[in-house]
Amino acid sequence: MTTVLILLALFALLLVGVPVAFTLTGLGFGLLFFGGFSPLMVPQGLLSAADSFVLIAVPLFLLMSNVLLKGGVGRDLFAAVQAWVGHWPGGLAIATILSCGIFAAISGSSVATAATIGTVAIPEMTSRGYPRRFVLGLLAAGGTLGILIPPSIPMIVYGVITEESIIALFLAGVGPGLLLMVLFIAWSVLYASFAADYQPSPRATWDERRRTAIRAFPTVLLAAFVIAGIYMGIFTPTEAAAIGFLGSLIVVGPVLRTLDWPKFRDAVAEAMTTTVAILLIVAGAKVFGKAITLYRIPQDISLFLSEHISTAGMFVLVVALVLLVMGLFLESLSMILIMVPVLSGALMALGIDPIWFGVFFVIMIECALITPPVGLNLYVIQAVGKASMGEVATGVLPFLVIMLASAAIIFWWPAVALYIPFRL
Amino acid sequence: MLRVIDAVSRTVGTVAGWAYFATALMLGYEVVMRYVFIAPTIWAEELARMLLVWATFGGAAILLHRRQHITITLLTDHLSPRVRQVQEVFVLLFIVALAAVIVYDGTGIAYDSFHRGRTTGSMLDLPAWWSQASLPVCFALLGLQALVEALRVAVGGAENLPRGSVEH
Amino acid sequence: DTTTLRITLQLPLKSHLGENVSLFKQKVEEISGGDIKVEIYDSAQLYKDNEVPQAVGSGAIEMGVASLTRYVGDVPAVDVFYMPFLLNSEDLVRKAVAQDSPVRGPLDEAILETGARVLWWQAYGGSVLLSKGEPIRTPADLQGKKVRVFGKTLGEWIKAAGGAPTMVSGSEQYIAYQRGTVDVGMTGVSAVDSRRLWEVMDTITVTNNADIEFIVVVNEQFWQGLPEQHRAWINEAALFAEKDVRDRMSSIEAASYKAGRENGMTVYELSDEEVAAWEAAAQPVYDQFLADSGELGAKVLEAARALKN
Ligand code: NA
Ligand code: NA
Repeated sequence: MTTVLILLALFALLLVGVPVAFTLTGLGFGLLFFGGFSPLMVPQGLLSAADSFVLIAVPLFLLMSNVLLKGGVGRDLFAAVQAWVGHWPGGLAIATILSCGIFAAISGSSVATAATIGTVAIPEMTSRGYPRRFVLGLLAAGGTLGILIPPSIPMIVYGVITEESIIALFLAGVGPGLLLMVLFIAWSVLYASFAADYQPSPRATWDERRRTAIRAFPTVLLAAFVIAGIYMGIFTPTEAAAIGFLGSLIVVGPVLRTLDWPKFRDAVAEAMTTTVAILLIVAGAKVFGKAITLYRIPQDISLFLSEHISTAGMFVLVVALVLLVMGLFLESLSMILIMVPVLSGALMALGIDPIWFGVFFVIMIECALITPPVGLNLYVIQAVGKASMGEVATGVLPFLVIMLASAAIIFWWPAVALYIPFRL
Repeated sequence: MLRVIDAVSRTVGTVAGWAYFATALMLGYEVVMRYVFIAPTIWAEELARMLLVWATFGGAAILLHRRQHITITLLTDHLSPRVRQVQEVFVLLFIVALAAVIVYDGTGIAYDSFHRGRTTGSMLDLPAWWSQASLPVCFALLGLQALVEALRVAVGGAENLPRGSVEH
Repeated sequence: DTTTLRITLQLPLKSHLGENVSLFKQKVEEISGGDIKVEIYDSAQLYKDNEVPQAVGSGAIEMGVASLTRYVGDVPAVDVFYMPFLLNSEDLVRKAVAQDSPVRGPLDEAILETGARVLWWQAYGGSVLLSKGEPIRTPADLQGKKVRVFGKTLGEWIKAAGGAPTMVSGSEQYIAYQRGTVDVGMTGVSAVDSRRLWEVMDTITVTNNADIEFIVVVNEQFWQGLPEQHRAWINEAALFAEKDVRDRMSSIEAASYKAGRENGMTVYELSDEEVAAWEAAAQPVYDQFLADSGELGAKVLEAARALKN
């Protein structure tokens, strides 16, 4: 009963338009106040959440991807990939997915990935006669690779609240990320071979291929260096972000010479905006989390789950359904912040690997990002593609099915996720 | 007066951005020191954490001014101007009240640490209140900014509000 | 009327400290006939270890468990338990942590001034060094190596001995060893078992360079507001829990060593000469401790040294 009231209050505040961060903090305070608990937990929770070395990776990865973005790296990447594979059947779609994947390796955010690649890929694809809905859906879904392929801001947040290794999480995202890319590509090729009304791109000349590859090369090298550095243990995720950012300054500064002072200043200002928006939600969720813990809600849900659900498969299925429904309405970060502490007790009891669960959760968040009415990637692609919500939302459907299928695949073969961090 | 608050929030926000930038430099230096010279610093991690706390809370006010906090606009986008005005004022006053609570209780914990001479007990062993003071200071700014915005909307209506970007 | 005690705990309930808090809960609920209720918030659901001193001191929560040295920000003298090789046998530790001991007594009093009363101490065991290939016999083996540490004083010791201290959290420990982010690990020996560290390290050097203790504290103002009888019950259960975990500690450590050996680890014991070499290199740590911790530090250090004779 209390749980239902709290959920109602949560949704009411969110729908009235109170920013997510202040909804969570305010509701947390209200619960503490009415439950007779110390209000000191509010400032203590806010500080505790923000005073985190691991979370420093958030602004740093954002700085990195913003600087590269302002340096026009998205366009360069897409041009290079297109020059190599654009003339294949469905080649432009393949180029788009590959570009999303590569940009995902330098960006920790889905929205940034969708926006960056979408800006160049949507006009190109539609002008070649690809159906609009397919294009919009492809970009909205392809953008979600940004949080599955490392670096990933949701994985950082998941690692912080579960005290699991961020490095292991990052590495566990690589396999499923590649799997998803393969599935997207397979679907695109299939789709293209049946859709008659698009014109294949002309084969690029070798000179053009070489020229575009040389421009994209430094960025790809940087992404590879950051992932390899994490993999080999040279630096922690936070330090990887710092090195990645400094590396990106070199790429767009002395190497490509595409970053000037005003662009740099904008990149810093935008990284600040996004960081503050994200971390205030993390901090607010900490206060809210403490409050519901004192009301013993997570404990009761855990108990309920472990009494009624005896197998890991059933648990995962139930969680997937719940997250799918929550994901329709809730903003993605709050999903992790609210649900993971609630579920982690049952996780342990059922012997589910927490790193695996992190990857699974991220895939479910990817679904949330492309389901209406609340789905940030839909909004972004709507804005970038000057489309209606309906167009994007229907276009994304086949990709949503593919994403759910990939969640099922990693359930049956956990090694897709866990082989790289733990066996390689 | 209202413009002064805007200007303070804007300046704090700009400084917050450069604080994140400084963090990158510090941690880059730390990696080089550790891997090349086997001499990890004792200050990089802790100062970086303190900058994160200050910058994050410090940026809250300017984000509010620009309506850039992550908000569910599903319903509010479809309100009539009159209802929208009431809704905006309600939200802003909610934030004013919340900020007041945080300033009050945050002052309590920062003062407690200051009074006891509590330190962080980490390698650098800084006074604990150095980062705790961010709460009363930054949320006071947020509260003032919210009050300013509430006044503006109450007087001028909700027609010409900035639209938050979706760059998250 | 009933009393509710909420306890915040960093570790999970299944850790030996978590089990010990559960034992306290069971005992106090039993002897009070239900007049005292205990709610345990484990796995840092409410507070991380380092936040416990302020959380309990300010009364935000009634009770909490923190590692003793988390109080270093309030009472620098608690680091006497991290002084290299000072309390490096079970016998010495038992003497130092006894209720009326001249080492523990003054520390409990100093912590009381932060607004938190110490109810009981929980044994966590000695600190060891983990490595790959060779044991860390003497400071010479640390030269140019990056070492995972978990506190300022331990970091200073590694530095004094010639290594490069690196802070790595408990959760990144496994992967930091696996990937070689650090070459040597410092940890309480029970983590070898609970975190399966044998998968990534193959040698334990039994240094016992520090004694890791946890304390269970209660907010003083709350405590003074309790009925006399409730305080007596709580104290009785606390004593019971304290004795239980102290008596079980050596078997817990032995089990961890055994698990390490069974999974292919070499356990290396230091010779007396090697301990002497370590001690010689540790002097700067003692000097720094005395400089930081004032009169109280000097007093408890002297008391701890006297236990050796
Ligand atoms: Na990414
Ligand atoms: Na959604």
